[in-house]
Amino acid sequence: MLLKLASTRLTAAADAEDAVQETFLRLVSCRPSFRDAEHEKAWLIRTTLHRASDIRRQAGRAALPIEEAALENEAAPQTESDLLSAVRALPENYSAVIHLHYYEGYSIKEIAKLLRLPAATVGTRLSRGRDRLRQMLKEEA
Amino acid sequence: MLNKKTYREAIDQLSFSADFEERTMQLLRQRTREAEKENTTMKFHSLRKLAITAAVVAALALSVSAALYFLSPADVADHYDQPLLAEAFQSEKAILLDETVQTGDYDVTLAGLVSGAGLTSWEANVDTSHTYAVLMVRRTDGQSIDKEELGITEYTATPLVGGYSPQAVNNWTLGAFATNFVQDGVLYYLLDTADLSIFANHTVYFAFYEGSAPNNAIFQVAEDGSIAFAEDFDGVQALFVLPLDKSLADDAAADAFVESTELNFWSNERTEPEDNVGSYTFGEGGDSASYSFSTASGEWKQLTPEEYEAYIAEETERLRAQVEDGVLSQASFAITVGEMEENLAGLKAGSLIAAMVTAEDGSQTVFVGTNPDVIPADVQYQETKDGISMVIDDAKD
Repeated sequence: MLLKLASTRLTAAADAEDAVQETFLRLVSCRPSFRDAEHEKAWLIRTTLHRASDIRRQAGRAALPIEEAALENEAAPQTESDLLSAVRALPENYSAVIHLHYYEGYSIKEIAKLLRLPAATVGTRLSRGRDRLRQMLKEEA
Repeated sequence: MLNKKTYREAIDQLSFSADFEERTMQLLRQRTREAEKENTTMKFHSLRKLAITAAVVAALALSVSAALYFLSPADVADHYDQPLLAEAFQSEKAILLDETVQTGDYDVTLAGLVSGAGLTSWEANVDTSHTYAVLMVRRTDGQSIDKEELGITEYTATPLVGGYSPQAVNNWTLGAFATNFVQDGVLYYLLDTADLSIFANHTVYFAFYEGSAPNNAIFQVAEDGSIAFAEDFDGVQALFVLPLDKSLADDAAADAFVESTELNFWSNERTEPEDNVGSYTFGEGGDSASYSFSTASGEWKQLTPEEYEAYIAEETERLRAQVEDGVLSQASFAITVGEMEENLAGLKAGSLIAAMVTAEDGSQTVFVGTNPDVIPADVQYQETKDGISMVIDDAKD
């Protein structure tokens, strides 16, 4: 679950694996006390998203020499559909909600609880995320 | 085409390392073992120094078993071959406290602290400011302390910040590094942590106690955010308040840091953990909880920009109350209000449409979408026992 969630923000499988590993390492190191399993799951989801964003931003700042970048792409090839590319191109606020709804099957209210957002905000992001995806996929066609 | 089936097919194409789960579990086990090994590593280093000092002290005919003099924070820095830190501890920037708390068989003294960048060779980034604190512990009966008595994995020296959960601001989240050594029967701690100055508008504590990461068996947080040891906590415990320079406070940075930890929650109530907390399922499917939509219908009404603006005013007050109650974070509040303002601009420009859906029980939800697709044919507003949910019928997509 967390690997696929991280992959909505990260292209390389290795980066998604790093994000999830670091989330669990933080869990082991900090040992927070959760109210219940749902609380823990929400924390894991949000922390994974934060970590994936951090990795994505760091990758954006790092300027790899062209040869190294080419080698990296060869080392971690990922088959990527137009839809997945479009999801990754969405603003992070939208892609998280899209994934939690379409892949994990959460309702708006449940996503609101997981991400600690008002339900109306989740509904709006879901709607606008879908609109943007439709637009991008039309442009790809 | 976007629907659950196509989305899942796209995501399921992703592949990950076959050994990811195994590698991750090994890493987690190794991290746990490393924490225990640190003490052994430090002991090797400190024994060498202790031998030299004992020889010097013996030559001066001073007692080794009872410490008649204590190392200053600058001396502790010298012990670790950190001359810039030693100099900082002797500068005007240093806060020399020399406050002592007696707890059980020990006197715990917070000797001093100093903050700055590039003060030690341990810092990978010399531009990043750290706070260094020196603590010393000695036995009240005057006998030499043994380092094993207060092992670095069994006892913790950590900052805490009033107004934030002890889970959110502590050694672990601050990326702190603690090291200790015994000299002349006194145990000296040096704590290296992220710069605490940003929290200076809060009460910043320094806690030394028997135990590991903060939890509600060790600490209690009062309604005003002040932190204290739990009344029934009977381990070694000492709590100091740090007199930080308020002119260096950075409330925005402090809030941002705490927000980033995702750990700013706390309950003084102790409950038995559920059996399934701490068990993780990797790979396909994740955990087994399933979520399903429930359905019903509701009346919807398109809102004018003026009506949406009135809704923003009401919603902002409601969300502000949630921030004050600690249910919603300040950052989430700011994001949500910002989005509503953007929506209002879109409504006025005609690019967006807003609709309010009222369920049979009177509960209402507002949706904003691209004109004219705000109520797409495949969307239904469905009433659940908890309110309204928007359900997207993928068959109609």
